Amino acid sequence: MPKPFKFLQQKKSLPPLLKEKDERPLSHSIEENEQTLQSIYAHCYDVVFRSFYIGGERKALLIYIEGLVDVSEMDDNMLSPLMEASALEFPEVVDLIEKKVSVGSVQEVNTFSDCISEVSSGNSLVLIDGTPKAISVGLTKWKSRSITESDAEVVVRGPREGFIEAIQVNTSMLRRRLRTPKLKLKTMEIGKYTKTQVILGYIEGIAQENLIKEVENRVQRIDVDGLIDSGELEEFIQDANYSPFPQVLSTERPDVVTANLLEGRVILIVDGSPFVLVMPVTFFSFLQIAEDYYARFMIGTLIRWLRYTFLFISLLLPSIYVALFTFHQEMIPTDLLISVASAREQTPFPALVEALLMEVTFEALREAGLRLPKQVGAAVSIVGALVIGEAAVQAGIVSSPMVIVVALTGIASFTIPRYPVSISIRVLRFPMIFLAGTLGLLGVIFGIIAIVIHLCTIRSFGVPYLSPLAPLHGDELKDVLIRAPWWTLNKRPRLTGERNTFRQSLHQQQSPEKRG
Amino acid sequence: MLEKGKISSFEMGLIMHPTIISTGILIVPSVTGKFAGKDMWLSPIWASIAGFIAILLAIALNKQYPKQTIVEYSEEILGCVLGKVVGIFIAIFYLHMNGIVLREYAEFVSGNFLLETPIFVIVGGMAFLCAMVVRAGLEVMVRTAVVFFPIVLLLLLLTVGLLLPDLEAKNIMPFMKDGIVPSIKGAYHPFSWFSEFFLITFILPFLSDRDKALKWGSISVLLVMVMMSMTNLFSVLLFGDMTSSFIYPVMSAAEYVSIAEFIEHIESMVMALWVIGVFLKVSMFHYATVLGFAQSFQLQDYRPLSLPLGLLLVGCSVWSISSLQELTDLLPVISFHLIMGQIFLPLVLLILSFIRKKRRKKSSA
Amino acid sequence: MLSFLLHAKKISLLFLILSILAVVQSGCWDRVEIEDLGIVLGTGLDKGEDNQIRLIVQLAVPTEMGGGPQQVGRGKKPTFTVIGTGETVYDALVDVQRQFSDRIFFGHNRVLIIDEELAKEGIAEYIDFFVQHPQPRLRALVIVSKNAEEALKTETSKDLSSSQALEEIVQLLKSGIRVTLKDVFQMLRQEGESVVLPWVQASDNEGEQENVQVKGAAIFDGDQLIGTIDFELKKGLLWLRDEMDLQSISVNPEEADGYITFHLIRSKTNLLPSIEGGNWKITVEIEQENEIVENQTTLDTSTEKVQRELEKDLNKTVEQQIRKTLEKVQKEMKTDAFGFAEAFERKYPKRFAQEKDHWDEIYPEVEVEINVTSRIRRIGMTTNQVGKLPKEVKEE
Repeated sequence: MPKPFKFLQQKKSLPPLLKEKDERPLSHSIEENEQTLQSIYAHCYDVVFRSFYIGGERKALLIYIEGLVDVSEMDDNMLSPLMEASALEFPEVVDLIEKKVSVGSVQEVNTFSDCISEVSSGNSLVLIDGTPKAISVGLTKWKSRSITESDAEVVVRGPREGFIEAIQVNTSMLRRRLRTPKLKLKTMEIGKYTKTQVILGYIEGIAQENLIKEVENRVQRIDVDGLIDSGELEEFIQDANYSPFPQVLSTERPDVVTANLLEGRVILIVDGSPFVLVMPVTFFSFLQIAEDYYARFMIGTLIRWLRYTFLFISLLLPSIYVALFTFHQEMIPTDLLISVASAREQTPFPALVEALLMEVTFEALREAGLRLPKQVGAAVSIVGALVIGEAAVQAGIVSSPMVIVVALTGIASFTIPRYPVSISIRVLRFPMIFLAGTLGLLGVIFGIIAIVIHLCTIRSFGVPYLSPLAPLHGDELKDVLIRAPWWTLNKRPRLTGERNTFRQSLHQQQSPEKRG
Repeated sequence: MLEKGKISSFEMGLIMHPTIISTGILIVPSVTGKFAGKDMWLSPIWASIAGFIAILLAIALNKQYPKQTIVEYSEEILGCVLGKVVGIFIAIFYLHMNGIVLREYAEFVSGNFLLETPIFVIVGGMAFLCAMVVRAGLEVMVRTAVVFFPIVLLLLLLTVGLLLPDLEAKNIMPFMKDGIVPSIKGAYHPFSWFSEFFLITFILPFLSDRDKALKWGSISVLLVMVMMSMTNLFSVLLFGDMTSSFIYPVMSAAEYVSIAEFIEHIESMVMALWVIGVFLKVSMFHYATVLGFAQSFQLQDYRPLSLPLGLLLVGCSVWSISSLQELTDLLPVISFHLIMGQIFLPLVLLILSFIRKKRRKKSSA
Repeated sequence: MLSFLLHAKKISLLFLILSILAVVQSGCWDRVEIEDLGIVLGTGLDKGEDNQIRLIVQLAVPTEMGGGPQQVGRGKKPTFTVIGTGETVYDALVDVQRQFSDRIFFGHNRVLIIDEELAKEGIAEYIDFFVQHPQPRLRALVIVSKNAEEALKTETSKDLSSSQALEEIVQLLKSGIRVTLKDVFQMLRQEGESVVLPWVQASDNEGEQENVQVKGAAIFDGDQLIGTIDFELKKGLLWLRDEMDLQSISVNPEEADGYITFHLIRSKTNLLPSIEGGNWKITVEIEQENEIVENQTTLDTSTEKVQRELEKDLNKTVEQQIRKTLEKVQKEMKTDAFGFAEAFERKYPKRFAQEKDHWDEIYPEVEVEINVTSRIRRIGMTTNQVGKLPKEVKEE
């Protein structure tokens, strides 16, 4: 693998091993423990240290972080029973907890580092004098966003739930959809400071062992000080780094994730990010949306074709326009040629420059509309459209056919359902325009060949990016070229679902039972 | 082994098709027409025999040396020194032929579409792409072929379909005016084109289902035959006697297309799609060259050779021929060269290998 | 030195970027902006002085022709004509280019008008440029006119340019004979066959709306013009060449006064050659279907009997038309405009090859037998002339 941008990377980074751990065990003396923890949590106003006596005799210490703990629950179910209990009755700590604390999740902790991680994740920690152990009580409660429909992946028909930032809520949504113990959710932690929880999910018996292992290995090898969003994780684990195409699918929709799990794929959920990563994927997974499968299959097929057509339009229209009107004028119908020529008579720029200029302006407008506060965004797009669409043409700076082309290209790029692919297509459009401006249609074809070579080269976790088209698996094309009816989709995709080929019994099209 | 990828026989047949047809429909119809006149559509049928011979030779040799290409087993058959000479000869042979193919493409593009663009750019761009795909390996090359194959097919069907209203059946009459001989004479050049099927020797060792190689190879030959014959037939149906006075009859036919006064003059479109076919052809030849050199010198990997040899290829195509006229003049020689390299040489190798085998049996008996 | 080697990759990357930039900088070799193109709509070839030819090029003026942001006044002419002279077509073209600021672009050339005088000397040498050069389209129509310049300069009422008007007329109107550059080239190639081109003229009647119209056909011997035939004779030509399309035939039936006019739906002509001894003969078999579009007579066309009669009349009319044409073209002009030679060559390739040299002598003597089979398929909306009472056809 060539690394043309290698020089951009740091030359000699000190290889920091961030995953150092404080493996000191807790001591018997509660004062000692308190002191250590106090020093660790120095200048953390929100960490609460509360000393109390179990049954008025044995000294104990409660540590929690304000805002992460359900205080009233803690008072009712833990503090008051413990304070009222007699310490002599329960010399063993375990006994005490088992019999007195009416809270579901309770855990014993032995080292300082574990103590810290428990406190950080929102549990309350109880230290009791005379035992080198702490008890972590799960009374976590914090504010989180309510479940709403995903903004990026809207459907007309289909579930309206979307993932949110809280990882527990997300896993619960998946559990609700897959009520089987075969749904495995392994948890991992990444980041020295953020200690972000990352969950690896798959269905046992469908997903391939080596795939699970590969993903797990890649994630576990990551050694960083912080992981904020799943987008970061994606970049760490993807195969081809120097590629404009995404090799991991990110989605906000639990139903999409469920369907992918059932096809033998593996998912990664990152705490704090509503985007769940699905891998391995092919190029075509980015052109399919959930609704293809919920709508009637003919409609699904037609919409898919529309999308494929507009994918090409989005990529090629400006470059073909430039190629035809500056190189191959004989191909254009005479009347069209004359009317475009008359429109272009006063414009100062060559078609190539005009195309680049307009495309860049359009992209800028789109970006501006996206980032600005919602109230201003609309105004910007209106002004932009007016200024560029009307005034520029009126003033003769750009020609109206070019405005039409750019507008059509813009619309076409919105039909691509997944944002990451839409962006890569937008990026590739510019070199294509450039090639078209230098070599005409030959340049366009050169560009297409280069893109196809690249697409054929990359793999996502061992799966060729263009499969099932290349390498060709004829029968799987029925879920790519068309959306075949559900009763014919008997097999899982070969490269991810090889372990467990059939997803349904054959002949599932139910018609009235024949009698007689 | 140098190549680690595995492909299927079906994919082999798929990549061979554009490899032969892409230049086969360019200059060959005109040359065929000079000899065969209105019967030129028969010539590919005779010529396809070469395709079958080449495939049979490649497979027969492969049966004896299943894991090796011609470069490797020539060493076993002919001995170390002579074998190495033959191996290097084959690699250079494909480099040279590829240079000519590339030049043919460049002459066509620069003579008809990009009149002022320096030929270096046209050749260089293509050579770069081909070198890139070969460097990515056989699997990737075949995958691009799978993606592009429908497009090449579409190109031909599109041209033919759009021309249907302009075809005149009377143009092919009189049929076999001077008997069968002219069409056989016209088959000479297509014959050499079909002999390029011998290139499968560089793919055969890497097949996952070798038993089907003959089947898919033959289907590929048949398909090439049908399409070449079809394009020739349609050129005759459109242009009649004047087919051979066009240098590129199929392209001129595309120029004649007019549907509803909207789709007109589509030759640039056809050229663009045809370039894809050339890309596959040049890649295939380049793959043979690169693999041939790597195996001759017993390198660990052939991929690093791809780009440097690509540069050599550009030189080869720019300097090997000076103009289209020279190319047309040289065509009989080139065809002879192709037939010698791809039919005669393997045949000799095959016979020698049989003799060797017999001798070995005798000595062991 | 060593560090240089370590940076080889960086340097090669830099080199790559630089070379791409260099290519792009000097690039855009073949790029032409469309506003810099002189779009040729039609060309004409006239005979000039001193054996030179005059090339008349009609160029589009886009701003006057259509679209555009502001509707620039339509006052000016939508086309612009430039005339160049030279020994060859390309010479003349260079001369044209010298007078015009935009690059002359032949990709949209729709008609090629050849002057009669020039055509008499042979057209093959002038047509060659249009086939050899990659730009001009092979589909451009070839037309003969008395004065190419005049034909191109004539302003037409409806269409934007005279070239477009000519193209439309030749292509759509009931004038038949539509010959493209490719066809001309092909006809010249065919042994014994002669070229037939449409013959147009700018109307010279004073006071009449200026226009160009199709007058008939120009008949060539080899590539030299030898004569023109008018509209009526052209019909026979079209029948024989199996190019009859969109044609009206008026018949004066014996049984009644007035005309019945038929509209041709489809027709098929077969030339069946036969050689018996030294007797060369062509049997022309025509099958055609018609519909009645006009009935000036009192005949009730709905009866089968009348139809039979009418069909017979039709046969006769068609045959007469063909005979008339044959008389002129075969006997007088002695040129094979009907493709007889081709027909003989197809059926008797060996015999024809022997006699090829004598074809000029054989041709005028070829016997022609004409069999027309007409059918009336539709009779229109009424059975007889609306204004008159239906009368029974007299019983015989």
